[in-house]
Amino acid sequence: MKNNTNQAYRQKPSRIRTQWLSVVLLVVVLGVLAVVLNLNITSKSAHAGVQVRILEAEREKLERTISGNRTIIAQLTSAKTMQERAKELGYIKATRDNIKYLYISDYVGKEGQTIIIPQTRNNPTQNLIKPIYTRSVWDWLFQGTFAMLDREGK
Amino acid sequence: MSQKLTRFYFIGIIFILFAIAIVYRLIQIQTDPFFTTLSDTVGNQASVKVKTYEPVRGNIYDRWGNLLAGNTEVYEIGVNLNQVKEDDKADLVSFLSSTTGVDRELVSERVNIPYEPNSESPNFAVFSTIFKNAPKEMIEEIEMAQEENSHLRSVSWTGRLKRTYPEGSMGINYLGFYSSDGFYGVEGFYNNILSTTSTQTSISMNPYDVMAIPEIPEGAGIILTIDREIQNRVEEIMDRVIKENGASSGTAIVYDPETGEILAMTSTPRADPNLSTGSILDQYPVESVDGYDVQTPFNRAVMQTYEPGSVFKVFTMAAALDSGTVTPDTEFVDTGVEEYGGLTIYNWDYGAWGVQTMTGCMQHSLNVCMVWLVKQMGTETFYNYLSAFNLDRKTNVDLDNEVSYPLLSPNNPTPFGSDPLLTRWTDSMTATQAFGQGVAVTPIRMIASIAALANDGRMMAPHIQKAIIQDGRIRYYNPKIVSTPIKPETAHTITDMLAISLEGESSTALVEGYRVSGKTGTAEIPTSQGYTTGLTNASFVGWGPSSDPKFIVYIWLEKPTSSIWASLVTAPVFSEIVENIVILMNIPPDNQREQIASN
Repeated sequence: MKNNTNQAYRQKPSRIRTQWLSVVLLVVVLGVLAVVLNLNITSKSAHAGVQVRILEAEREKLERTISGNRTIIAQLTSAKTMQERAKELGYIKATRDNIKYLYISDYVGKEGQTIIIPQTRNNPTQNLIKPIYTRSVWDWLFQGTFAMLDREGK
Repeated sequence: MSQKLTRFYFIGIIFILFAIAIVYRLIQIQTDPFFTTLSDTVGNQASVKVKTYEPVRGNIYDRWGNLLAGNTEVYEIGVNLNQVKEDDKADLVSFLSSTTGVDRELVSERVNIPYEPNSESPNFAVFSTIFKNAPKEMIEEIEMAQEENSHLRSVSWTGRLKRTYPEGSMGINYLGFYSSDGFYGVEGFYNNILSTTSTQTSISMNPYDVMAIPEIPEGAGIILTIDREIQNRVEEIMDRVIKENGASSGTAIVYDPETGEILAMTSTPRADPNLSTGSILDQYPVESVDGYDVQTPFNRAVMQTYEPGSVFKVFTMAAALDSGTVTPDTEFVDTGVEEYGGLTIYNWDYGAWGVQTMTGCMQHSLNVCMVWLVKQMGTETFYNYLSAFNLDRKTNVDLDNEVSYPLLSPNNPTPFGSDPLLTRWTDSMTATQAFGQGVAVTPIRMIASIAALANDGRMMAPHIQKAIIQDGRIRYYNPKIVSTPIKPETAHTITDMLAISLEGESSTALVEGYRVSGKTGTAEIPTSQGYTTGLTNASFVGWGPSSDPKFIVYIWLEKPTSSIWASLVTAPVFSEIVENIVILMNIPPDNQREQIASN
């Protein structure tokens, strides 16, 4: 079998070149594939990064709007505004003669409005994109290899 | 063939040399310090941006969660100078001027600032501000105009939060105001916890390095002890009575004697804190008082001392009762005159009231009786009690700029220095201090000390902060006992005496259905030429229900012109305020409370 192959290469040396060419082409195709894959992931992660930045700005804006809206609600329900509205609706101020006190057991009394308690914020400045989406092919290759060797205890 | 090969090798060598040169240059660029620095600088300029994060200032609420100070979204409108083209300028100027109301010439000046991106240049300019604090509606108008007119594309805006007070001028005296910093009241006192410091952070513009926005902790929110409804009602009443009585100013405090909570506090003038700082301060002008330039106090309740007059008699009587010098039924023969330290003291009406019990002394507000009491108990005992009531110091209420005036006494005779021309304690001063002249205190000092009489002798620390909202939780303030100047029995006795006093003279301070205790105070005003006669400070302090006090009210009208007498000016104000607050505080009339208690 080996003799047959040697003879075939001797009769038509271009077969060797074809073999080399195929190997080179294979390497090139694999290289291009890796680059395309890398480009694809990095472009996606870059897009995600931009989106994160846009959303962060949006959140900042929303926080301002929410805070502003709370104040607008307070303005619309301020003591003077409510008094004027009550007057327009025909209500009058309660006096001693209008009031009858009743004893109701377990009555807890006047309850205040719910105050929104802001949550604790404890996330320091940190990168929002996981390293898996930002590392290069080499990083991936070497880190993957080292991780594998580490798992195998070598 | 060999010639061909030689040429081939020659070309190959040239290519190889060229490649070597490129590689050499690449290595040189990579390692040369000049190129490394250049690369870092240029790279950072493009990929790193310094951004300032302003923390959100904490909200202030009343005790029921009504917002008293919050933030609204406003915008800063301007033009991006690199986008301003010569053809755009005419449209830009007329549009921005008409929309924002800013003077045309000023807009033109701002739009024509040359673009200079170099931050180190003295003429650095990339953005020119035209209008600050623009409302959302203005931005919507600009957005619509930009869609129709391409000359306006350089107009841009950035949002930020502006301190806003939904209740307007209501409560400004204790709230203070905020304008790049907190001034006066709660805004001033709690400035450091209402807002945390702004942070500058370098943000990477590299999409791979997207960083979370550094979350500046929001300023802490503060829940006040103030009841918005009581505050509103007290302000309405005070505004009206100041006008009706032609008083130059008015101050009122409603206070919970059991906890030291301030339920309402008002004084005049009251500016709208939503205005600019200049407009606010214009309402508190510098005035010439007795030859001195004095700024109108922002909150007279804590920032102005005055001679309170006869309301101070409650301390003299409390001291005499608590020290065992007298009992309510001890008799005193009023001849209308009493000598003390070389000074002759008369009653307010220069009359002699004959035989009086101690209750009668309080009912008729007899100066002579008070001087007699001091003589009986001794100067040392008298001053020890004044000191026990903390009348020689500030209350340390959590409001900015509290003031105090030294209590002149044998222990502190020359607080202003030893110069004989300066005010100093003399023996005769003890006599006038016994009925509230020759002593200067703030209304908050008075109410905090007198509240001990309404709280079994326990004096609570006055405070306006009920709770702080911080780090995702609410921390409530624990009421604190400052001192116990008198025994509980003395407090009950004097409360009863002052209720009988009001009932005995059918005072206009009485409130139908509720037994209240109180004392008027009409004080002459000291000037550099001596005490005034035609103008007084009229005060009233009262608390109730007498059997279980839930509130104490202090009223001070400065220089009323309708009448100089507190019994005519401030006593009816107390009655009106109490009539309102018993409803707002859900306090049933005495007979119904007794009925409920007996069931």
